[in-house]
Amino acid sequence: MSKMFIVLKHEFRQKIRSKAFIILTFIAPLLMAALIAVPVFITAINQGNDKQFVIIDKTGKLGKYFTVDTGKHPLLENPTGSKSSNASFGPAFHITIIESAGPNTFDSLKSLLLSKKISGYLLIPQNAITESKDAATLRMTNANDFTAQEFLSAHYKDGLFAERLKTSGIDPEIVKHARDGSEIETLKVTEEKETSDSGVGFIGGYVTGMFLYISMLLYGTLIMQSVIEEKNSRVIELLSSSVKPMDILIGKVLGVGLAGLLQVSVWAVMFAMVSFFALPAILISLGSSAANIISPVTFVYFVLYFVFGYLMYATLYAGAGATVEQPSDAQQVSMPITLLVILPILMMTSVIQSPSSTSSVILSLIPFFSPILMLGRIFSETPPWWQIVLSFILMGATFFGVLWLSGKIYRTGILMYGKKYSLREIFKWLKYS
Amino acid sequence: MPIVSLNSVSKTYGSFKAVDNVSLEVSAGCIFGLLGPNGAGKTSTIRMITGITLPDSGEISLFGEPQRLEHQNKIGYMPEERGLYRKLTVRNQLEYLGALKGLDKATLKKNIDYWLDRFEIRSWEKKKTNELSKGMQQKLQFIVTILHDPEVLILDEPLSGLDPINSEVINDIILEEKAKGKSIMLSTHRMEQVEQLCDEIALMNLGKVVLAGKLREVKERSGKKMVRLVFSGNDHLASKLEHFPIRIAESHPNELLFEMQAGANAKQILQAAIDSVNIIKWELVEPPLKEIFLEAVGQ
Repeated sequence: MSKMFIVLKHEFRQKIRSKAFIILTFIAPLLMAALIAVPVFITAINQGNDKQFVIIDKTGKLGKYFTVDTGKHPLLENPTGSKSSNASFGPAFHITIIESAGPNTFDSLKSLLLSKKISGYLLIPQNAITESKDAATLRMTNANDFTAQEFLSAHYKDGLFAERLKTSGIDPEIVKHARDGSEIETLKVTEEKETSDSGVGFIGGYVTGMFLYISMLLYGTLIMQSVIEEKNSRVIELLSSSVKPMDILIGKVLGVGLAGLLQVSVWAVMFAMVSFFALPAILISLGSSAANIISPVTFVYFVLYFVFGYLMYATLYAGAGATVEQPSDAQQVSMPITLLVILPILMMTSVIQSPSSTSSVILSLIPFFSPILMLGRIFSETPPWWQIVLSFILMGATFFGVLWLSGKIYRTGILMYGKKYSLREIFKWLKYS
Repeated sequence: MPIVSLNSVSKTYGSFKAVDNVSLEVSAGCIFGLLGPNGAGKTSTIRMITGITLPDSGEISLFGEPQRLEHQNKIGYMPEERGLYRKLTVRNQLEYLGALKGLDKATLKKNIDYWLDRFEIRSWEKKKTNELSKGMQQKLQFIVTILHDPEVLILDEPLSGLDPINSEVINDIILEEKAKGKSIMLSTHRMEQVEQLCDEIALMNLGKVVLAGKLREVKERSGKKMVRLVFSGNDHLASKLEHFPIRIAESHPNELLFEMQAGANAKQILQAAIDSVNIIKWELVEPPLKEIFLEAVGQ
């Protein structure tokens, strides 16, 4: 068994047995799920908190746009009508309409409002339809209740629009008919089929990009910590009297990489299970289906870009780790590498929006950016096959270049103690035999 | 046949010449002492022999053939800066580092059991290394070095941090290994250990070998005539002998060690001593290594 393989096996075992790894593997997805589920859950339990609103419609014409007379008059005597909204999300709104307000009405409304019996009342002035200056006013104790504002405002606008058309002698039905079907439907065209995308490709590209970004940082830092730990505990001198430094480096990168791949696989399985049960519903609400974004081919690309990206960055991080002695100095030397990971995230939006522009093509072919940017392009508009192949060739070549560079730095760096080394000194290490 | 042989080996770090044209030989089956002050180039030399670094120029031969990577499996190295995985258990530590020396599973288990028993730390095998005491870690470090039954043991300050009892255990094992025909290279500042154990020595200073050969020959070659005088009574004997052409190397309350220099008359010195103290012992001794060391380095 080659020594590189012994190192690989050791690193792999150490990683997957560590508490941090196990926790991250199984708890992180649960946390993510919780992050999505908790707001939905909270909204769901908020549904029970129905909201009462009163509308004083002095025009006498707009109330009907809020109401379907249910014969239910919950709060006030002699209302014109009332309505309960039946929204599936969020609170239900109970609307009570009155058309005239006596001198005491406002006082009693105010006391109802302050005693939280109602959430607010909307005053529609008499000339609202004819005079555009006469705006309706909504009075609430919580002016930040955007759901309620949105609900009332949408109905008010519709009603006002229809009534104004009527006063000009136009049948609102004609206008409604004229407006129907005026939305543009966007279809994503590939060689095989046309699908309605509705931004799902954008979201897919972004989510996988962020995922790659986080995992490059995570596993890269893991490798770097492991290098620093061996140097700091001085075990590296013993180690390198048994194994070639290059074999330690490669074994370490591959061992931690396999552990990472295992972790990602566990996540993928969990994600697939969740997708099977929950994702279709979410995607249908976005107007797409799972098959459109996570096709098997896309998944294979994702794994390949993960592997290549990991190899390049992990090797860089390992080389950087060998230049410092204390874990506390790690952040300083890893900064430039971390910047390399962050840059493509910043370019992501523009590349996904115009994936075929010259700048997008060039940027996505830069090896350190390819995993995130080329994958983003694949999600939004599959690039020509030769660009994908070229990105892999360039990444492969870069990996070997980085391996050579990091190997040289690593071999010398692991034996250097006692001070911080400048970039110029580290550059000199490259020449040591 | 020399088991380790360096021929005009040099190693430079930046502008610092750590090892400067060093040639030395370690005979098979002997204990070799590599001596020298801090920064003399001992560790740099050892690192090249263990294959951790490569020489810039010169050749290294191991076991009678040019140095190869596979030779690492036949060398056991104990670095001066001790290093172990802090969070690995004693057994896992030995399993990993032993496997890296090319041991198969069965041999590994057998050897680990043997050495854990020998050092009486078997009951600690499931403990993490950072839970062990300093002395216990030293023992573990020694086991790591010897676990794969190496042909050559290279020990850098093997006794540092050990109590007298465990120092004795290590010295015994070194002699045992020698009896088995293994070669041992010791780098140490403890002259009494060198005197006690070493057959051959090399003294390094400023990257060069300044003295080398069999311990006895080195001492003879120094040409020093040393006298050890044991006495009782007046303890200001040293000041009474000052005007003779001697150099006092050690002065203790009842003992004096001095070097007879040119023109020194033993009879006159002895007479002067008899006049002021009771002489218990007057003996001609071979120069202690420390004297030779200090003289060579002081040049």
